[in-house]
Amino acid sequence: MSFVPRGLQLSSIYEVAAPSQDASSTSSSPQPQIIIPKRKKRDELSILKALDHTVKMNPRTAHYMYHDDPFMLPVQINNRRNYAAAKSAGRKAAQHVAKTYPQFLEVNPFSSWFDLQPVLKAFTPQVQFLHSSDTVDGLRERIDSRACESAYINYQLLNEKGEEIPNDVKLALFDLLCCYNSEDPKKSMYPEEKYIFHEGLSKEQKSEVMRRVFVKTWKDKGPAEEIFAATEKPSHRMYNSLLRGRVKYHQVEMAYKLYLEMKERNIRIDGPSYTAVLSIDSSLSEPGKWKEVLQHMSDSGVKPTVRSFNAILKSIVQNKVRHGSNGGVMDFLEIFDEMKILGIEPTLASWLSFLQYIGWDDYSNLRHEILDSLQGKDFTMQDPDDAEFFFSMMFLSNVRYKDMSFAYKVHNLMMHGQNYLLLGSSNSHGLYFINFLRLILTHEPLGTFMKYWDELVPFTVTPRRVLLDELLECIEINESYDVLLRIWADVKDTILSMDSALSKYIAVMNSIPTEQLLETHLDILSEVTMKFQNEQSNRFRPFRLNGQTVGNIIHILLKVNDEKQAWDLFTMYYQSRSSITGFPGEDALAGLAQLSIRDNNFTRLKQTLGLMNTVCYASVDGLINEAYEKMELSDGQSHELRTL
Amino acid sequence: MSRLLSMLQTPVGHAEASWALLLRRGIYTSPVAQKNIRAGQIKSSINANLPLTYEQAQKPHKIGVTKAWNSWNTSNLTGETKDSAATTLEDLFIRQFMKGTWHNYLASEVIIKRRLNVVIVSFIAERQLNARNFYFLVGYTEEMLSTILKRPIKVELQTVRRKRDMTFKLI
Repeated sequence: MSFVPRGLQLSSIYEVAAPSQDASSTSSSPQPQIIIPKRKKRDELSILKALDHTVKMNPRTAHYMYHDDPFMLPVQINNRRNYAAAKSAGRKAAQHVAKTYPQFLEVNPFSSWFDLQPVLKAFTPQVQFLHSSDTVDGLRERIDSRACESAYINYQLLNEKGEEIPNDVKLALFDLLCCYNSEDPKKSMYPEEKYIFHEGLSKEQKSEVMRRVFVKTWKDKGPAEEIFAATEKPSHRMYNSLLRGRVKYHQVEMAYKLYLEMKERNIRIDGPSYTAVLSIDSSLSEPGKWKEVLQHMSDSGVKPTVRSFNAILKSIVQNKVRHGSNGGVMDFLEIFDEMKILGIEPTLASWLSFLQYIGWDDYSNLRHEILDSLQGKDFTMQDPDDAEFFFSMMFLSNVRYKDMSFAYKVHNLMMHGQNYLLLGSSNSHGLYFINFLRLILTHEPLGTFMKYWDELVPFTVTPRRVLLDELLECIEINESYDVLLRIWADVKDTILSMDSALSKYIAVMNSIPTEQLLETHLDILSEVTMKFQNEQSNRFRPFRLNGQTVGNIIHILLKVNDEKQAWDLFTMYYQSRSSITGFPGEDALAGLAQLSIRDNNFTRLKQTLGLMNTVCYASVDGLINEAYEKMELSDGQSHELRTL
Repeated sequence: MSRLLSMLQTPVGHAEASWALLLRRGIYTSPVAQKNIRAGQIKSSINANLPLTYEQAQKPHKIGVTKAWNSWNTSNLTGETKDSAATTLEDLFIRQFMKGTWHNYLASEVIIKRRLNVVIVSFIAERQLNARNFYFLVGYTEEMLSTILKRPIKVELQTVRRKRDMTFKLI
């Protein structure tokens, strides 16, 4: 267990962990002079950036990718994914046409009339290489278009011919092979695909994605290693490229071995290579080498970047998770101190590592203090892990801390400026809000929850099963049945698509005590019944109600004296009961049986009592006796009742 | 008009006399604006049951007054001649492409707006397909037109339940 002083303050981590000159400055020293620049420097992106800052998150509508039209906006649970996937499928179809008929699409047919500037290469279909594959120009061309495999074949042909390859071309080829692991790079995903990538993946698919992230894929005897081995005196650039390639494709032990070799031979290592070595620290068989690497870095005069520090912080967290190593908090202090000295501002990823490290211990003051210090700051993506911050913090607040005020702080920070851009993909975006809403539901009054619900549902977040279940339970406990209609209006389609949510919703509706309030909900029931009537035998997506829900609906209809609808629904249920799971409740069936006794309708009585008898409801005997007393039965009918 | 012109072209002495004559007789003499007011106007049907959208119902002289242009670009401003032919041809092509790709779904004119090298194609479609299929068509249109015209194309789309909802008046 790591030792952390109880009264550990944020000031001791970053704010006051400053170089000594801060302490030496006293009130007697002159005030720093404010210099107003004569002219503010602007670059070509300044106007675009200024315009960009006017755009803020609008939780009341969907992502900008979707068209702002009631018919085109995603409201159901799978719409977000389906629409984005459909759009990217359309793009792929067009790409397929372009690939099949590139000869017709090489130039703009109207370009002879006017100048097309700038020329956008992305819109030209794949053209054949201009130079043949056994020339140096051909090799250069293939390297420029990142065609790894054909570039390597070209290189081999040139070697067979014994032709001299210029050194810069050879180095460029080696960089390319290391960067892409000697394979042709995959075409980058369309923005729509990227946005929905993790949504809707099954558990196996998710683990496959994770496997690809962490498992070694580096080709040990691949072209890059071959070229490196064949080179007599590899340059430092080759060493650095190979090191980064091995790290990128998780050949960690060999990468570290190469690093040691470079260190021993005094080969110059550049900043990104150091960062790469620091990032694999926790994956080594003997972790905890980052201090040595940092010392080496300092000795060779290479200044670490924020990504180097983030790599160390992440390694420390992973060391704790994988190897249970201790003493991390002091290491954190040292690293934040070092960052302060070098004038490097920690990014969200740095704070994420720290908060994750202390996440499982009880340092609530510290995490509140950190969040307070971050309030009002604008963040931009400096490290890929920055996009994990908000999602992980909200997840921890809900699952681990159960801390509402902390969650509000995280949410305020996220809503500030353009910080919402760091929410990540559609999946983490959805999970962030689900965690936030669940936390509010547990800790705040229902009124507060509904305020956020109105703002976020259905465009920013589509409620999932857990949230809906918890919400309906909460409504039942609080007896605030007035919100049921609002929920139906917002997420009707989601409820109708989820069996469990629909049964729960109808069950809560069944517990509404006053008939007056119940009558306002009758439209919902007729909508459900209509859907059941029309779509229960749909070939592709049959809409089924389970027995309990049918029973609850009948019970509600009997409460408001709508006997006709109740009998209609019962008949529908009775006809297709073999394909429906569960049975209607005792209240509903007994109510129907009593009605048929009152109306002297033996067929209906037989049906209801038959069902009740199948499930062995206790009130069957009483009802049979009642039927004997109140109904005029023939001998045959009496016999039928007796044999039930 | 031709009579007036011939009068103006006559020698000075005659013209003066004619003008004096005209004034004395009190004939209305302001020049006649001989516009072709039939062009671009839809002829009314026998039963007056031809549905027109708002855009169609406005006569051409109302462009810029109660209706706007279908092509928004700088090459069709007064005095601008550079690239106007090519831009017009491209617009024609885009409209043909839309007519074919969104066959029978278009419920309005296709409005083409250009900003720098971006072309924005906007229109109203009838909800004959489900939204997912429309998104497919949006993706296809954007990518295909971008590949043909070598510039970024964006589709902006609104939908109506039936084409009938677009009816502004019956003539």
